[in-house]
Amino acid sequence: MSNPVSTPRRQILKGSSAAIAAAFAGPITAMAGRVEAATCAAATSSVLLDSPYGAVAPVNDLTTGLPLIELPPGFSYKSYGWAGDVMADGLVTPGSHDGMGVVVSRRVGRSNEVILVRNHERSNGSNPADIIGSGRASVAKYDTGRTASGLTGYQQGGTSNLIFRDGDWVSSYASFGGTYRNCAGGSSTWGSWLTNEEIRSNSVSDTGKRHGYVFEVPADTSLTAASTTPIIGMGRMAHEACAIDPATGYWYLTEDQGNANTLYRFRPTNANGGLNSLQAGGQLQGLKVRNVQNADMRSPTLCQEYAVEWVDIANPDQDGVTLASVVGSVSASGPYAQAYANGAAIFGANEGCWVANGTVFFTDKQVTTSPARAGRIWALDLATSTLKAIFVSNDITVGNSPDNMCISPRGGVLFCEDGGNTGPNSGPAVTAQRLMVVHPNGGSYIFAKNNYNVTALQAAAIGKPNAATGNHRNTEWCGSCFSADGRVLFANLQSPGITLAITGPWANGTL
Amino acid sequence: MKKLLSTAALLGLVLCAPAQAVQFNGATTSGASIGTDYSEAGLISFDLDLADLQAVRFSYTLGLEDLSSPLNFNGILRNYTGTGLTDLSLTLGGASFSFIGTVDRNFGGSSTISLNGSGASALLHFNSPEYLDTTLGNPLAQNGLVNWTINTAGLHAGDALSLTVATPVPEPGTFAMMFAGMGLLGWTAARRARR
Repeated sequence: MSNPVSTPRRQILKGSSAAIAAAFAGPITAMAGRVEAATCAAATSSVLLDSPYGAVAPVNDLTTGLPLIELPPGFSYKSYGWAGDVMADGLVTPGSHDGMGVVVSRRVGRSNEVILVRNHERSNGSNPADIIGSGRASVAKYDTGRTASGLTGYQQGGTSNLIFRDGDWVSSYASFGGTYRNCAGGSSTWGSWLTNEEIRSNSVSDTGKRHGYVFEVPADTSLTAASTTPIIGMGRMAHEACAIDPATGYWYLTEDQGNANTLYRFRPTNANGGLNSLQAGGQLQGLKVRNVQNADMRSPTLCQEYAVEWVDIANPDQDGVTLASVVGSVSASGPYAQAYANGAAIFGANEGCWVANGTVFFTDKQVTTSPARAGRIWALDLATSTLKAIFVSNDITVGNSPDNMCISPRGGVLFCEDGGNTGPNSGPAVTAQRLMVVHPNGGSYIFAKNNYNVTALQAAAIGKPNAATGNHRNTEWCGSCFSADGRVLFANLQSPGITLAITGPWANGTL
Repeated sequence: MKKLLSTAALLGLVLCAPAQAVQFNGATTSGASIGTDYSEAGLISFDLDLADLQAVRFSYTLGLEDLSSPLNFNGILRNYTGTGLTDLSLTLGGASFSFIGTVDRNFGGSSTISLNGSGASALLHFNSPEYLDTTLGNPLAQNGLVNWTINTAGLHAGDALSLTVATPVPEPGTFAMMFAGMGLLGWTAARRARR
């Protein structure tokens, strides 16, 4: 205890402890700037580093006791919301867990509560009963009709909402359905999640609905149902992630359309934000490298920089076309075809997107063996309009097909792999997909590995007889996001479909 | 009388007669942690958001309603230090623990608790480092959790009581000696306040 004479004591005020979470995260968010100003190594591409957290090893799940994932020393996790589990609303948890976001972090009485919205990247099928929320009027559904071609059948994608309180999972329920392959999305600043359909399609269902849109899901759909009106202004394309810049209210979006996509910016007409405000429309734009028409951005060197600007897209709902691009004949969405005509850049296949500290981070997941490419991560400085390649993997051991990503409240860059064992590889075969961290010097290190390999006997023993069995180690991580106070990392294993809450000594590394 | 009033002014008391229920007089630290008090008659209760490893001392004045039966204690400790906690001490000034209730590590994990000789100080040892929240007793009325209690025998309305949360470093033997001394200081302060 301090000496009361020589050490000044400070009176603590009674009151909200929200300030402490802000104080905890505040000084460290400046670390995000380190990535922009990274002193990159002399190499032209990223290298795999030893993790400051230590080597990963199998860790038993606190919920089931099974070693579902590998983590560094000191970290622990709780699984929840397995595909097939019965949710609080009596519906069965859909599978194909994918993008996910924290939409609300709050103190409720004396409890810390986190609300997440999770995507289910399910496509289509012949049974209308498989539409999420089928037969349940309380679950809003965009399209209950049947599409005759293209996305043939009924659309089985959608979302579920989860509640995590005081270090424990509390409940989940279906929140939206009738959409196609809800891959990624983004959290708004007003307590909702944008869930994005990943499809480039001109098909129309027998209820007159098209697909390839962005939708908004509130934190509590028992109070306000999700709107079934798509945010057309954000475009009809194979959407991936989106992220809002709190300073301006602009959204940044990615598109997963091979060799026919760029980073998009959406400037909403209603700059005030708020639930369903984005349906008022706005201006969709595509990123262009200044003074370069249709710049090919697929093979940068590490730390390579570009001055960029934005070109307008007149019709965000235009049909997709086959485009004669400078890189070949490509299948392009309507928005991209317009952006391309105005000189927009060309990326491989953009995926994750996150805004932090005035910087837009996004991933290009494209993997090719010739040339050797295994994924890139870009950082766009919004103040200077400078785009920088902060991670360049040309070898799958360094990082394979970066998909969803997030920035921790401390400025750490985390991405989910989605590449498996496919791609240029100078080392042993990849047998497990990983959560990877981009070091401020442009290298990468392993934070976690998928270790799911469950027998039918084990599944039955933990009360999940319908859980997927067998080796799923080489399936993708997704939905990574931190709690606002940075103490818990949430993530999904897409197959078999499990959500995880992870905590531990974050201070030991760069996350 | 003047000395008592000036002491009362320092403590922020406005009543001439002892309050019926426990009165929270504030918390002090040389760090940045934040405490929120939820005490009521017969219950000492607070939430402590630990921003660092500096000790935090909660100060109270007992009321009549606190003395008719053992005084309950519960609280929530939230770890925002960024490091794992392995040990925490809870030291009473002016009293001792009569019952050690439950310690619930919200994310999982176990702990052991030991009391020093006088019962004024409880040492919480986490069997694995704690990175999130720990519930002492039953602040949220949950099944299976039980409050701690404080021995009020010999105490009077108007007596001072303190509870200090710290991350101890010394060896167990030294620890027992150190916190017994601190408890004595706290008791001395309480008796001075009543004169």
